[in-house]
Amino acid sequence: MKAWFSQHAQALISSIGQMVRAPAASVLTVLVIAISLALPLGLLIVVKNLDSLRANYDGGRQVSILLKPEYDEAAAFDILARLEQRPDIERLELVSRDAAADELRELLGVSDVTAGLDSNPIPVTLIAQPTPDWSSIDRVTELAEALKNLPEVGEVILDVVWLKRLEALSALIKRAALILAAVLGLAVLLTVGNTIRLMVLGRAQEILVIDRVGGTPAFIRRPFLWTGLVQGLLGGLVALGVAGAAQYALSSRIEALVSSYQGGLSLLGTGPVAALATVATGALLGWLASWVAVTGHLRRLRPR
Amino acid sequence: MIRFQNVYKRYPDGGDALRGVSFELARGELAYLTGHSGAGKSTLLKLITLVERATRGSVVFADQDLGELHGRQIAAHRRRIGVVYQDHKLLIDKTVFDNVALPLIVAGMPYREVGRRVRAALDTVGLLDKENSRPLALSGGEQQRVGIARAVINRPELLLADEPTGNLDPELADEIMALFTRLNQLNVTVLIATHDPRHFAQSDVRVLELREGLLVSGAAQPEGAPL
Ligand SMILES: Nc1ncnc2c1ncn2[C@@H]1O[C@H](COP(=O)(O)OP(=O)(O)OP(=O)(O)O)[C@@H](O)[C@H]1O
Ligand SMILES: [Mg+2]
Repeated sequence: MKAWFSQHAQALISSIGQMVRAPAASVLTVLVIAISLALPLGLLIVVKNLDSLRANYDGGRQVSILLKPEYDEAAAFDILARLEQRPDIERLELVSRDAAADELRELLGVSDVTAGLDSNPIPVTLIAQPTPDWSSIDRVTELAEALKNLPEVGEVILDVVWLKRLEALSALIKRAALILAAVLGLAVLLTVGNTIRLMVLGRAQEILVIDRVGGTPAFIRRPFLWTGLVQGLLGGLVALGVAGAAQYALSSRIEALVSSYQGGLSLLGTGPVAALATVATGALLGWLASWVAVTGHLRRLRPR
Repeated sequence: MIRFQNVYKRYPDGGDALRGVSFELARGELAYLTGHSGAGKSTLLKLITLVERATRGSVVFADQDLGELHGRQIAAHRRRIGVVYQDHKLLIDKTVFDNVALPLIVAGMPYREVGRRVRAALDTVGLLDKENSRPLALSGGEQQRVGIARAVINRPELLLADEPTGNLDPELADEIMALFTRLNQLNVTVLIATHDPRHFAQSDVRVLELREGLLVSGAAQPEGAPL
């Protein structure tokens, strides 16, 4: 057990020494691994944020009723009073033109949205919350149709439609991330495999002699496996760094968008599980690739 | 110690290097393997170290049929044998010390012990002062002696030498042959392949002679051979 440990420590030290002495190939390999891991990781973080956005958005069933431009707030109160009688509407809320303009201004970061315009072009909006019995997608769609037929109503926006689209988008990105991960995982295998193969060829004589004096295949593989594992591990860490940097760069913009959509949501990061999985995936791929590369070489040394 | 039974070896892209070779080498014996160039001497040694496998027949080492060994068993088998190569097979970017230590390192020996054993072996071949040199800074004879030190470092049961004196002047060659004789007196079985008959011309040691893959003499155990 002690001997096993010291042999591994020895192999690890020697493989790190090898990488430090000839860093060019290793640095390149680590970067390829990092990019290959960072791209799917980034997409998965996007998916995660979209999902949490959907989960946290309780306005899923609400219906926005945009009145025709000729109806002002006073008219809107009449309409509101009328609609409140409907059994399928639980609650109604009026968003004045000014309030809507304020919200828009906050979202876009523009000082005055309506400046330079004769009048505020934003329609008066009523936001209806259907009663629970009426909140299935079909029912809400029915309600929206009915509201659209009212003479005062210009446009009806169903948030549930957006949620459906968001869900579809998130599923699409998730699938793209998986495909990308598979393709790039293969790229990692080939890249690390190639780097290790070149190292093996550079040390072919040493491998031959070790084989001849009774070194086991495991003994010969060991330093290369560590090299692959360390490269994959470093690639995973760099990928986390890249994902973190990208998140930092985007977060202020996205947070503005998200919080205006639904107050108090912040951008989700990689998270410990995904971070660990990324580094572990890198390490595993690196290990696997070098195992394949060295084993392929050792096969040629076997007696025939 | 070694038993060849009707051994054939055919290389994939060549003719028959060995054709029906049978002989037995007892533990503690010293024998020469001779024959002209291409007769199959190196091939015979490679079958013993499992660098190659017999195409037909069986090679038995210490009651173990070598045809049954695979993977790490081959490695374990090779650790029982020391081999001196004609081309030395030294690692040029490692020191003499590290070259000689290699069989002990792969066997997982603790480092303290390794240092002691390596220095003792280098002392035996008269190269103690060269332990930190690289092989390319040594003469051909010195390189050969490093190869011998590496071959005997793990106290093998069997020592194989393939043209061990090919690069050496006669005095050095005699010295190395004397070294092999000394090892043999320590009960190491020794088999030396050479096409230089000078080494065994005067003595009455056993000589196995190959001619185009056939064992033409020396197959029979000499009388009074150690068992
Ligand atoms: N790897 C190989 N592939 C194909 N043929 C080979 C191989 N090794 C040896 N041979 C052939 O097998 C025959 C025996 O070769 P071997 O090396 O055993 O001879 P040898 O007696 O050691 O000769 P030398 O004294 O020149 O070293 C030769 O004809 C050689 O060409
Ligand atoms: Mg030969």
